[in-house]
Amino acid sequence: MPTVRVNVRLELGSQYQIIIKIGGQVLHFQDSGSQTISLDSRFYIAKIAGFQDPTNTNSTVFVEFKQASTVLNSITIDERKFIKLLNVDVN
Amino acid sequence: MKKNIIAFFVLCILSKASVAQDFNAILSQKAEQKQQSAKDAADQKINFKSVVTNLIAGRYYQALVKNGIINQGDGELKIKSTIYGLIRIFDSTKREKTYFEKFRWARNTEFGAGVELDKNNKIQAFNPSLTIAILNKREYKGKANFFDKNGISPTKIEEATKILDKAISKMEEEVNVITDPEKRKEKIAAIAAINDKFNKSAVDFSIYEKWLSKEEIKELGSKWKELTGKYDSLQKKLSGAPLLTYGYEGGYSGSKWNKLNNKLEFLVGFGGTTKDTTRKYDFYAGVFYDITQDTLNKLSSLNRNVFTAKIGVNKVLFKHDADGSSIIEVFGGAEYQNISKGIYTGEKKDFLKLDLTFSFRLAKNLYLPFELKYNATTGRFEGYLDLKFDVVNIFK
Repeated sequence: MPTVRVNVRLELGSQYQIIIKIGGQVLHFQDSGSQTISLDSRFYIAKIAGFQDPTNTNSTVFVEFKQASTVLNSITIDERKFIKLLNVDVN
Repeated sequence: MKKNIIAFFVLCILSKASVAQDFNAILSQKAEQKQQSAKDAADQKINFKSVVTNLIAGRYYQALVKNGIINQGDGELKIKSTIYGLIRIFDSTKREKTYFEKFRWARNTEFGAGVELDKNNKIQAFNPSLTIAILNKREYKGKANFFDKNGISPTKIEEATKILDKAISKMEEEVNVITDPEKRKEKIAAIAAINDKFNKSAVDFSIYEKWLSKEEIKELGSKWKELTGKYDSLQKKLSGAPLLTYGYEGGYSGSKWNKLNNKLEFLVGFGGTTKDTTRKYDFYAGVFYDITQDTLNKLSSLNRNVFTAKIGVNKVLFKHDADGSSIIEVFGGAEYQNISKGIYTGEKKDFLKLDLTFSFRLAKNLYLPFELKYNATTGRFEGYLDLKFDVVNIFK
């Protein structure tokens, strides 16, 4: 089963609450980091939802999905409260 | 310049004496070099870069300009940043949560400097400034995660957005049943376009009406609104917390100081019905001690000292629907001024003014206040119109 690495980089803030749901699996991030998940080879839509630091107007979140060295998709979010859907086609 | 002239003459003499055949080539090369030097001298960017590189490492110059820390204009160079802003430029690893918390002090200290240069890149005037947030309760400093502590857990986010999973499953299925690679590619592109539209919208769930019923869209919207409403409330509560800042502004030109201004300002929200309610009013208090050059006596510097104390209450009358920022606000208060040195002829040593100010928002953090003051000492009304920059937002 292929593995997908989910990289999250949180900038300019200390308080975050973000969930990423893909293939029924829910990942949780409160700080920058990476998590690896196993997924079948098929097409997915990742749901990225959450909140950024309420006291920092310049908060930005960068989310990236990687399979080995290939970037499947990525998104930069600068809204403080957000829901984003992202195509992730796992090979 | 002198070196160039000497070199030119030496080259001329040498070329005449022993290498006459190369004279024209050398002369032409020198002329080109001179022409380029003249172009460079006229180029603000090259000129300023050479000055800046003496102050800071050249390779960071572009990053400082890009991040708005350095601004250069016609014979003018301005630097403005928090210390944290600089740390981030010089060490890009300091973006993590731990660094953000560790360098809190650096975010609460902003410095600035304006430098005016003459044609020889010599400093003509220097205007330093410093603002320190001595007390800043507008930042959350608790050890527990802000969202966990206030009931916005990952489970709550998942619950509030769960209905959207139905649309996601249906869209995924539409792609995964296609076996033809080209058609599959086209379908993925079509879904990407829809998701892109949603991602750019203000969370408009109706974009997924093909896969969700009207009731589901309504329920989804209602759940998300409930959760974000809680977030908005917490955010507003923090924005009314106490803030105490110290500010300094200096001015140096013509080989002497003409301004050394100090101010201490305090701001806190009040008037909510419960502890968690958004504050209705802002209490403001500020003391200023301005040591300036008398505009009528420019021979000596810093010969006029003015102490000012202001106190009052601010009320936002109209807010922007989208971001909740103030459009029109009113300030009512009093101002006491005492001139301890450099009183003009006919001027009172101290006076009390009652102040009523209406501020109109022109752009983000930029206001046009109309001030109406009643001078209790002279019994006269005074009107003022001036642009104001919202410094409070620096520390948000």
